[in-house]
Amino acid sequence: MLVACAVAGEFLIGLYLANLLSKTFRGKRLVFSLLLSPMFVMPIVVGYAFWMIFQPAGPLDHFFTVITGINLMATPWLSRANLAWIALILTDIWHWTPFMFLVLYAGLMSIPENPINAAKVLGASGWQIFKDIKLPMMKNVIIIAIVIRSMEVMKFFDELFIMTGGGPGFDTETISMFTFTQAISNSRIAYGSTAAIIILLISLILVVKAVRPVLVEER
Amino acid sequence: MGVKGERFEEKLGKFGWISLIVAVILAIFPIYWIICTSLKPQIEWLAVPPVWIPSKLDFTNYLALFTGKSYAASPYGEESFTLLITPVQRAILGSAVCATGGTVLSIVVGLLAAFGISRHKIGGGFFPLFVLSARMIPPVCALIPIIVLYSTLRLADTYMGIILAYGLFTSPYSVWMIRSFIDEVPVQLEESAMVDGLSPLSAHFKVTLPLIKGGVLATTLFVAVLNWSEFLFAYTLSHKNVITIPVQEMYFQAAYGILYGPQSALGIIAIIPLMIFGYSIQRYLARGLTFGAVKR
Repeated sequence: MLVACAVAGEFLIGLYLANLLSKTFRGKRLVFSLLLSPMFVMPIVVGYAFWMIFQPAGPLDHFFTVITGINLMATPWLSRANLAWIALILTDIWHWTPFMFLVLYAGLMSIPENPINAAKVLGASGWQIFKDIKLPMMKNVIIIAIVIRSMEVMKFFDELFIMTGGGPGFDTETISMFTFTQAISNSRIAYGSTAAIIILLISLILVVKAVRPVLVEER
Repeated sequence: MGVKGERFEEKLGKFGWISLIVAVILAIFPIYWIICTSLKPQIEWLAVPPVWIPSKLDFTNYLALFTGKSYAASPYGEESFTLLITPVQRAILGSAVCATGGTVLSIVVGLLAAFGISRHKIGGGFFPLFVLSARMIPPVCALIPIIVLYSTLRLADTYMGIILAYGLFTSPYSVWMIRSFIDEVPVQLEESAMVDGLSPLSAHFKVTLPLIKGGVLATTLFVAVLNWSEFLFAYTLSHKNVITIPVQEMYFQAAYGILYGPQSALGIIAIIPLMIFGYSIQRYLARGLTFGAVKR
């Protein structure tokens, strides 16, 4: 669930931003760099930053209270299961959308000019060009980006560890978190190893089925 | 960036501008919030409603990190607990040693392996993928055997242990990234050097290596960024002797309260090198993160 939502969100936002940035405007380099900055923050610090932001009566609650006029000051972002999931997904989206954006932007920039220019001469609208020319030509890049991101989200651990620790209860437990809790915190090495083997198998299948065709045939 | 010249210049519309500005604000805000918290006095850390702009620039948090200071557990003086900060120089040193060591190890291994894979097709088609799978599995999986192994080998809680683990876990990146740079250099250059009497090894290092110097440097910085921000291994493999910045961050979360200010201050100190490294390799980031599949 986490994987699907986070990757989808990152992909759509990243695609939109990449498309915006492929246009020319003043201050482009600055905007580009600023948009990349979340990626450079270390995961632990991201965890803490969002932990502070999602505190009840923290900045996020205050912002919404001011905007909507309803008192939302005590929203238990990290201690109610559904909200905690949303918070985690938002955190991951914030942290890794720059990656999507960067890769998709690279893909968008490597599209040759001629088909686009030809379509323009023939009177295609911006959306048509995007849908019929740019997207199909970016297909490979898109697949690479999504596959790699999905693999990375599977490993999502640091922020989770800081923000909810798998809680409230076990509601936001992912398979990495489960393994860690069992093996390290509860000292049940054997139990944890079993979980690790299962993750390993799932990942290996993913690597062979999804990553291999993409990465190997790319060269 | 991009190809200049023939491209029909597309202008950014009003809606585009608005969404860009929103995106930039969203991207910056959490970073701003850490900076802002790191400059707040203790009473403003958890104030309700939150303090959006610190009342004055207060550097005590930064000072406390380096000199040590005890904070009252509650800024209102209701409780008598105090939270003590131990100086963080050791954590910064630990991070620097582990990140440097891990990076050097990873690059040396990566460079040699990349030449092997790219020029001699060692291991056939499967080997590179095998290397890659080390990066694709969640680190937690590898953590358990490493812990068991380390406790037998007495490597737990030593710099050596962490450096080895870092080198192991970032070498897939360096192998694939350096390989993608080597692949771009025509093999004929090396062949002609070998005709002129160089051995294969010196052909690699005297002909190809100077050509991919920039790429290797970018890979180094990239791997350094990964190692610097690593948490899981540092957390589980260190107890007393070794401590790195991310682990130190954990320690601010004491039983009686959290020292948001110093925590944020250390966070800022920790991400400054990341920002510098990151921006300086901006051009190669896409390539590094996709294991060389996307080239610019």
